Amino acid sequence: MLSRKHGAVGVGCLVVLGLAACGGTSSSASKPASETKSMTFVSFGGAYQDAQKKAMTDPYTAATKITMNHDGPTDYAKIKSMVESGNVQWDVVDADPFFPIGNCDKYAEKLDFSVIDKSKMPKEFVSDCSVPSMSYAYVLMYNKKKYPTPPQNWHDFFDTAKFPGKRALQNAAQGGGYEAALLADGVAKDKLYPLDYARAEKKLNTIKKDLVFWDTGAQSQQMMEKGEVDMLLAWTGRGYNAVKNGAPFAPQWNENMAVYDVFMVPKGAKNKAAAMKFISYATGAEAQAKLTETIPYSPINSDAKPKVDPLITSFLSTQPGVREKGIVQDQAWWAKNQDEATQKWTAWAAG
Amino acid sequence: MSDQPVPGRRRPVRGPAGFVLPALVLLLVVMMWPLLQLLYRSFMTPSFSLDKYRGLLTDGVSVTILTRTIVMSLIVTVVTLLLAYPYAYAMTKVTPRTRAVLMALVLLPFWTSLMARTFAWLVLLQDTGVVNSLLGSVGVGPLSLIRNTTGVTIGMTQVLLPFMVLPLYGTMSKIDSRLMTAAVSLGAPARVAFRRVYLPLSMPGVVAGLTLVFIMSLGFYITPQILGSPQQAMISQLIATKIDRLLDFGAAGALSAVLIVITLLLLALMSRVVKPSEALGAAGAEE
Repeated sequence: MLSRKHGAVGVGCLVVLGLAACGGTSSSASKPASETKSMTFVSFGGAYQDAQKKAMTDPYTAATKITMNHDGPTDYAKIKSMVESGNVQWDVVDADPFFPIGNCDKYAEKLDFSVIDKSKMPKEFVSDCSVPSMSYAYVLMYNKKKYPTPPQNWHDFFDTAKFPGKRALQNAAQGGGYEAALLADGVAKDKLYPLDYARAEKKLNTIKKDLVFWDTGAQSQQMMEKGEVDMLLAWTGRGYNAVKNGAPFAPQWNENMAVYDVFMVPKGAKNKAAAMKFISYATGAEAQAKLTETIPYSPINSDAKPKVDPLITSFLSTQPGVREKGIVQDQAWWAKNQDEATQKWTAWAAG
Repeated sequence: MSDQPVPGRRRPVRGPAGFVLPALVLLLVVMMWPLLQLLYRSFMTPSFSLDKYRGLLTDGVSVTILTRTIVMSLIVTVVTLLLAYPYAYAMTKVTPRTRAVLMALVLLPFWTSLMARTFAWLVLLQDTGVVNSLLGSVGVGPLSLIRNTTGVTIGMTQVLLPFMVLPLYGTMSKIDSRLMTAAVSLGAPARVAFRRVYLPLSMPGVVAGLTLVFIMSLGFYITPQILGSPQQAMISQLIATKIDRLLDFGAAGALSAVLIVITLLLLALMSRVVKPSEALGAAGAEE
């Protein structure tokens, strides 16, 4: 949302500068936390952002009197444009890890760990410019009616002779498809990175005629509820929603992939100091427990003890034993190779 | 697109030209300016080079998707023409009341949101959807009607049908039906009379419809995204990936430039056959 003032600045530089990019004209220094009366929180929208409002921003406003404006969805192209034009409208952004890790100090501010306590977070989820905001997993969801003997792992997902039927993957390079294919092809869990694209694509091609793709979580949920596919790689949150709505599906936790969202502060955010304080609150035990009670994502604070029903618990990636069965996507590798992997995946999927 | 003053006709009054100014300024600021910036970025990466354009040839996906976009647009254009030609012809032959109904049938979906219509197709065409249930009750299927070329063709054709029907109807309604009678009375069989008299006279409408539909098809985003799979991805989706995921504004600008050049070439080609103002004006045909 452009405020009136910034709108005027935009038009002004448009008139003056001709074709050259309008850079740096309205960048203002970040103010101390005590001066912040309101700031902007950005996330992916939908049920997730609603839950964050309930568990994080509303209680924070009640406690601090700081107004938390919601905007979204998270858009990396927008962050890039904001930073480059020196007019950063967003203060705290819920993002994929690759973006702040890959653009640390470029499009993302370094976080202040004297304000944010990272000691209760999984170590591998923390970077200089990001801390986790919640966690979940990519799991193999399968139709219990169609497969009385459940598929055990990604190897079975790729076995169309033993498990005939349509399957679905997420249409995104980092959506777990590459890792699933390599695991299915016999690559050891700790030898996945650097990803061998060619090997993965060769394996993926073996099921291409039985494969469909989903782009949004809602689509994956619909595929389960309408019985459009018999097994798929899905986010645990969507798996839970589908099962709650009566889809005859169950998660297979073997070789699950732990993933997480992060909080980041765009470089040059006007309320940087206040943003650190908010992140500290939102990653605290209380906010994290409340988030899980509102939406079935797992807390990232080891002190958080959400009170939830057994069905939700059965979809939490923080249940005992789950982490040991799975892998964690190597976010540092992904941050470095996101572009190349996206090129490769797009070319493969479109071909 | 303004009418050129025609010698011998009354000169158009000058004053009203000013009335287009607000719209023109708006277009310049909110459309031309960002467009120029995007094009600028496609060359300045960061200093002048054609790397972004060369990159399109070597990234392993742009050429495939560009070709597919053109093929897909051709399919949709042809299907639309086959459906719209007899429809528009019928519209010129029925009573005014029936014509109003036929016109409403074309326009009604036209006034409904593209998003809503595309999702409606999704509901109708999915494996467990209405169409497949009906087919199933007569022992056919289920057929795969979404996440493939069939789904995208159905969705795009329905959206674009008005843009073919309206110019066709505009042209056909001006054809003097006595010409056909004359041709037949001079001994031409009906089929020959159609081919040698009616078809050539309807060509301006055909060319206008083909061009409009083809150009609009090139830019489709939502329909292939929802009714197709990555194997039906079109150029707008690739541009979105370049911007959203790769933050490669330069490459997105280069792809957009390619799209704009194709569009302008087609418009230039069309304008040799039919005046643009006529082609577009035909859409607002006399009713």
